[in-house]
Amino acid sequence: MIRFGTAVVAAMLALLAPAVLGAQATIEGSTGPLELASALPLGTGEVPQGRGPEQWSGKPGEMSARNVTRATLLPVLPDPAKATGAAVVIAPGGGFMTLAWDHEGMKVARMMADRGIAAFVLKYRLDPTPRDLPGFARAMGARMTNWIGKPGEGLKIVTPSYAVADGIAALRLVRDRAVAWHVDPARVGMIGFSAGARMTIAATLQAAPADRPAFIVPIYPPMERVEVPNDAPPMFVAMATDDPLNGRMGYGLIESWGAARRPFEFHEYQRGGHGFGPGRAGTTTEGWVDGLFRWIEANGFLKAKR
Amino acid sequence: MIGRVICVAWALLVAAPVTAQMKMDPVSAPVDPAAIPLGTGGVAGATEPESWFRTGGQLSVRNVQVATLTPVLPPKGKATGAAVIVAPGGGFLMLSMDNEGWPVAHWLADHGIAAFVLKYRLKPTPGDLPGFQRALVAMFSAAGRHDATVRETAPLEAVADARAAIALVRARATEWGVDSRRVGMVGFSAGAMTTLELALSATPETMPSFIAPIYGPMNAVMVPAGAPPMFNVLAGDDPLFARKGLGLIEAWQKARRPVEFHLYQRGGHGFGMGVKGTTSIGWIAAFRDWLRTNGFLGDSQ
Repeated sequence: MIRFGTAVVAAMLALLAPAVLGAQATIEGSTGPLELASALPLGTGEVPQGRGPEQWSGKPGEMSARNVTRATLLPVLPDPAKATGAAVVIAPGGGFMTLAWDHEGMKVARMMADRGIAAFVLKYRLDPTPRDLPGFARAMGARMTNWIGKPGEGLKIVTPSYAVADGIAALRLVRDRAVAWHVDPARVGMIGFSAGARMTIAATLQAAPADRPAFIVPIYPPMERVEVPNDAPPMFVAMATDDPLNGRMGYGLIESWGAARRPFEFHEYQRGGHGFGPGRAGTTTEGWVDGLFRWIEANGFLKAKR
Repeated sequence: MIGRVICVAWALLVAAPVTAQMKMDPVSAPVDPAAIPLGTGGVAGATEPESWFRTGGQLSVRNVQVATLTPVLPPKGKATGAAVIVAPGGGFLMLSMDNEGWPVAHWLADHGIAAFVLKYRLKPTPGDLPGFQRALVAMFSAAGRHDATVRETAPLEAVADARAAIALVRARATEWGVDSRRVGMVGFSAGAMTTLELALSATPETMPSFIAPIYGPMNAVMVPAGAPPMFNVLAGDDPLFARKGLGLIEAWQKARRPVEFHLYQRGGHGFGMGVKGTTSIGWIAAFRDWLRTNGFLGDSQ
């Protein structure tokens, strides 16, 4: 089973941090994507024992961050003529050690804005990792090995409290500035990928009711059972059956929502692996964003409530 | 949901009195000259003749004693070579031919997929409509019980008809422009049970190339090594089959067979092509995408 575990870890590394670890594509020492200039600080403080300043790698349009020590929120607003008043905070994934900024952040944000939904890409604080690439790769590999654990034990994911605090702060900031951004505070949801999905669920369960997202969209999340309050927001979950991390681990998350009689929708695509982001070409995962948009519409989030 | 017989039957269970709401009007059988008898025999103990009725504008049939298959072929130049047997539902007491049969077949044909509507043999029901309604309500009331954990299986006649339908389409594949390696089956509710049962018991010759049980039971099953890829759909508010676990999906995954599953938030039981205003409306396009990515639509799409 150790060999199987190693294979999974290798697969996860390849999926979670392609831009960081793929030597050819890696551009180290970049100052980060240009759009970051319009990101707002969340003012949630610094990572304890951080190893900043934050580092960026990857080609433009496929960038990833690590050692993020201060959280920011980047608005990607729709054409005012198209704006519906709905909004989403988007939390990219990366095992709380990196952020797939473009793949699970900016690309999805633009798709939302194109459909009249104001998007806000969250750069949440990350766990400190060695600044050199080989050291980072080792730290990431060790983390995946720990998370996956022994067969049958389930995932052992530790969600950093500061990432959750950043998620809640992002929701507060969007609601505080709702008028300026033409957003309805009652229609601010949250999308999270992988670790970002884990954080989205934690933020939903830990936030005061007034700070909760109006709807949540965990994409390839851990499927563990959780305690769901009887006023939890509607949830949309998408994943692939061949997900090496979260696949074949039962359906505890959605069963918890169902047991609390809270609305949810679940799409389990045949192929797509872990980290399909906006959709992997040649698989049915390419349909998930349209499916999400139909769900948001069917739940009435594209229109103001009276 | 209006006009969907199953939903009306369900409404009857929770809303007394049991009469006026499910208005069924007897009608004569629609003209179906393309229907091909499957030659699978009759129904033991059946005395009442096949009869048709209309509920909320939708046609259904009951007391089917002779199984038939009606081809609905794609327009020339549009055919992908893929074929799908369409099995409507109705608790093996009736078939929702409008809600779960012909429109589905026509949608598939319009998208280049040869469709074949299967009118499979049913359990005998009383000749009078009130007696039939009572039988229907009793059946759905048993199926919807929370302790209904025993896996119900499709009657042998229905499965035999499905098997004969696959064999017939493969036998006449050339004539119908169908690739015999791409003949699948979609079934609704009782039709989903029939579809699944066929896949679990078929020989290689009669094994569907893919299956799509739509709002069928979710109980775990023994999945054979050669089980076909499965596309499965359910609504979270299905009063019969939701909230009873997803053993069927897990069983397919444990057997390492390909599976895709869509659990729509709302749609109830019997949403057919999808209920307006709910995401269930998206299932058939998702089904087509799934067929395409699995290579069942060939190179043409």
